[in-house]
Amino acid sequence: MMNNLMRYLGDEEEKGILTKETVHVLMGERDKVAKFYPQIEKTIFDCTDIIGQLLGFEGDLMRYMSLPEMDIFLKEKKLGEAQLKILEERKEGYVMVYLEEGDQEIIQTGSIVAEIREMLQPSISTTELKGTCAFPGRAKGRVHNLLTDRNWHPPKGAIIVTTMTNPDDTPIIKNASALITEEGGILSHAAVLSRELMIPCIMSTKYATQMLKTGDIIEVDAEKGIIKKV
Amino acid sequence: MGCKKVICEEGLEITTSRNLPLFIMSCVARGYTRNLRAHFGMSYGATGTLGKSNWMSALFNNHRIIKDIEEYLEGHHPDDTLLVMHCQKIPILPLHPSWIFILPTLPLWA
Repeated sequence: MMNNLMRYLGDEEEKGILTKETVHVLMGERDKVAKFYPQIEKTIFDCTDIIGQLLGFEGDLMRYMSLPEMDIFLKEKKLGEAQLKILEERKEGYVMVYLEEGDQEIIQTGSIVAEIREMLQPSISTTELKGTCAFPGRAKGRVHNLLTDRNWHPPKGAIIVTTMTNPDDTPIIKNASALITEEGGILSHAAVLSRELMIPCIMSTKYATQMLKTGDIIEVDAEKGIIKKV
Repeated sequence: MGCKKVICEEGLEITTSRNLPLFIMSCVARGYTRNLRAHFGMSYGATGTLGKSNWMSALFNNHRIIKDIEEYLEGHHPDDTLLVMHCQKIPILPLHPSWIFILPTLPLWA
């Protein structure tokens, strides 16, 4: 929803003024959500682990059930061999679609999932990405993809590429020459941090972590929101 | 219905990827479609998830809802009466009216 809002706003000042209050309220509420949602998720994980232990299967498997399946399971309090096998298969890969009318389908067949995954991947031959500027500037350097290489610190001057930043990433970003994220709006953590540290930043690139691998040399133009592979 | 057929016909594409299990995405799918329609009069119509282990990519067609959002933003104020009425119908939302935007999308924001 916020991504849609940001696309609607674009660079138009008039729209920005029109929606200023709405954006302010949304971001305030979003901050509140960010504080309590992790607790909900932890509760779900803890509960599924405990139920799994009690009923003699890996609790993690319950997290591969859909909402209606969970409903049935909690009423019947048992899982058949066939259901367990399906859940095991989903762990290796699945595709779920849901229609407003309530129809839902989940596929866990390896070959079909792989085919759909392939269909949805962006073209890897693309050498240019576009996004929204959070802090202007230009930079050229080597990519450090935080999604794939979170366990080691990048050298000073690296260009950090990630889905979305969080406060733990601050020490890494401090030494970066630019920041690229797949998501986020003007009030996201990445945007605020890049302005604070005055690092060129491009957000909402969608596929950056898939297209930019650690070690790639790229040029970041955060004046125009363009990233080019060199 | 066929996952591939729905993805193609509804124009679903990867919009966000993160660490979330299928169960939570199943709740999110309902929030973005039926709940959003019931309380706000707009919906994504269809959603999808491509996942492996607890990592997932959410599939949406953002173009499908952007027109409705534009019309809303140009025609409503965050404190307007219509929104307040919506929230009064939803007992779980005692706070600001903007919660109707936020609640269905909780997991994607954490």
